[in-house]
Amino acid sequence: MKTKFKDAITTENICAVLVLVFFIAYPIISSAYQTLNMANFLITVILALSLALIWGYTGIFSYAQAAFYGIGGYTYAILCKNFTDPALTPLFLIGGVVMGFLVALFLGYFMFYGGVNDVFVALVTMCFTLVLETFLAQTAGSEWHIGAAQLGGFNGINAVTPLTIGTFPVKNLALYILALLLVIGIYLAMRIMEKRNLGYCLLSIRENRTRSEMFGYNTAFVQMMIFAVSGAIAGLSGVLYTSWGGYIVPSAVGMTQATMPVVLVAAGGRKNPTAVVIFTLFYLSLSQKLAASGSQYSLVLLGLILLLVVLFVPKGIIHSLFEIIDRKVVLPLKNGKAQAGGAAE
Amino acid sequence: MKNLIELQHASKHFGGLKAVDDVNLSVEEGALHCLIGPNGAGKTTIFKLIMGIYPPTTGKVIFDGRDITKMPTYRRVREGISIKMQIPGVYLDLTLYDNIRIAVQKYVDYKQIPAEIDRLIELVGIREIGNPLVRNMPHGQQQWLEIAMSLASKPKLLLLDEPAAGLGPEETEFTANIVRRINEQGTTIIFIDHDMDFVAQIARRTTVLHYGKIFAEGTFEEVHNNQDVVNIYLGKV
Repeated sequence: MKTKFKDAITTENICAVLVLVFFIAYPIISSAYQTLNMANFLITVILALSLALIWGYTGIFSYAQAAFYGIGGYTYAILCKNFTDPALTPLFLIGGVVMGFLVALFLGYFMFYGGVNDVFVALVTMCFTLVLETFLAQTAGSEWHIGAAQLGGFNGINAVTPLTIGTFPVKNLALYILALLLVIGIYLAMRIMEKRNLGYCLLSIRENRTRSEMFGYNTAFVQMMIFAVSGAIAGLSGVLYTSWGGYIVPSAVGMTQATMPVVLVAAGGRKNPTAVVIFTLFYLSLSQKLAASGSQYSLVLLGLILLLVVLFVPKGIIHSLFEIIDRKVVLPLKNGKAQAGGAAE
Repeated sequence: MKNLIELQHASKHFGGLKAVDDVNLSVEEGALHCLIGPNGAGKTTIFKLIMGIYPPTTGKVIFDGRDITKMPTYRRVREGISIKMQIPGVYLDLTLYDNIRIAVQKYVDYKQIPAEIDRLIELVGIREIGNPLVRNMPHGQQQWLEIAMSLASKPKLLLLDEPAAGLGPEETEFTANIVRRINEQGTTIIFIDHDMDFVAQIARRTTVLHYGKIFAEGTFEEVHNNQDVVNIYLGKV
C-alpha cells in the first residue's frame, strides 16, 4: 500500500490535485462572471479531452471533434426549438451526445473498416468538418428548418433554452459545477482506463496497429468504437456550450474551431490528459486576454504555439515539463527519502 | 497424425509476379517444420497467407479441419495461429512487461495477468533481462521477447519468421533451445531460416521453395544432400 502511494507521487498527480483544488476554490474567490467564463473553459476542456482519447491514447488524428461538437450543439438546439418544455432538456442533452456518438460511429465504420488510417483519417475528418460548416452556413432560407427549428445560416440558432433539471435552470454556478463534475468524470475514466485492459488495447493500436491485430485484437472495431465514444464526448461539449451561450452557429464547426483541440492537445501533451487540462486553461486565459485587445492575436498565437511545439517539444510543453520536474526534483526526493529510510533501518 | 494446417493450391500474385504459385503444403500436428529457399522464394508470403495478412489469389487455407481462407487475422489468432515476424514486431516505446501484457491480456482473466506474464518470461528464459524499454534491448532479446509474446494466445500453430536472423552462435543456440522446448510442450511450429546450422539442429521436416513453388521436401538430410537444392542456393537453377 505504501509503495503504491509512493508510486503515485509524480509531478503529474501533484498538479492534478492542485488543479482540482483550484477548480473547487475558483467560484469562491471569483466573481459570478468569472465563474461563468471558467465554465466555458471547462466545456472546452471536455472537447480537448475527447481528442486526447483518440489521438493521444489510440493514435487516431482527427479534425472532426469540432464537427461532433457542432452536431451535439445543433441537435440540442433543434430539439429545444421543437419541444419547448424546459423539463425535457436533460433528454435533449442525451440526444446531442447520442447524435455525436452515432455520426462518429457511422464515419468511423467507413474509415476503419475501409482501411483508412493515419494521415488519411486527418484528411477525411477535415473534409467532413468543412462540408458540415459549408452546409450549415448556407441554411439561411426559411426552407431550411427541422420542424419548428430554423437552421438560420451564418446566424445559427439563437435563444436556445438552457439545460433545466426539473424547474431549476442549470446556469451560472450550477453550470460550472456540472461542467466540473463532467471534466472530473471523463478525466478519471481516462486515467483509470490507462491501467486496465482497454487502455493497453488502445496503447497497442497506437504503437503498432498491424501487430496488434496479430495478437488477436479486432483493431477496426476498437478504433470505430473509441472514435464514436470520442464523438459522444465532443457532442456533450457542444450541448453544454449551446446551453451556456444560448446559441450555436456554423463557425463552431469551422476550421479555427477544428484546429483548436488539435493545438491544445498537441501543445499540452497528447498522451497526458492532465497536461491537456492544464494547457487548455492556460491557452484559453491567454487568448481571451489577447482577443480583448481587439485583433486576431489569439489566432496568431494558436499557429505559433503549434509551430514551436512541433519543432521543439513534440511530446507537448506541459508533458515535457512534468518529465523534467519528475527527473530533477521528484525522483531525487523520493530516492533520498528511501535511502534515509534504509539507513535508519 | 492429422494435418493441422494445409495450403491447397494456394497462389498469391502481385500483378505479374507469382510470389506463391499453386502451393500444396501440409503440416502435421506436433511438427517442427522448416521452410527454406533463396530470397524471394515466397516463404514469408506463405506465412502471410496463413495469418490472413494477404488473401490468396487462388486456393484455400485449411486450419484444424476448417476452411479459414476468408477469416480475418485477429480471428485466426483467437483460433490458435500465432506469428513471430521477420523484423521483430514488438512495441519499441514500451517496456518488456507492457509488451507481454498487451499480448497476454486477451487470453487470461484480469487477475491472472501478472502470473501469465511471469510464466511466459520463464518459458522463454528471459527473466534476467529485467524490464527495460524494448527500444534499448539488443536484437536477440527482442526476438526472444516476441517469441514470448506470440505464445501468449496459447497457439496450436506458431509461425517463426527467421528467429535466428542476426544472432551470434550462443544466441542462436539459446533460440534453438526455446524453439525445441515450445515444440516439446505440444505447439506445432513452422519456421523460416537461412542459417543452415540452426535448421539442421531443430527441423524435423524441411520444405524448399523456389520461385513461389515447392521445389523439394523431406528430412533436412534428404534436402541437404539434394544436388538440385544446392544448385538453387548457388543460383545455378
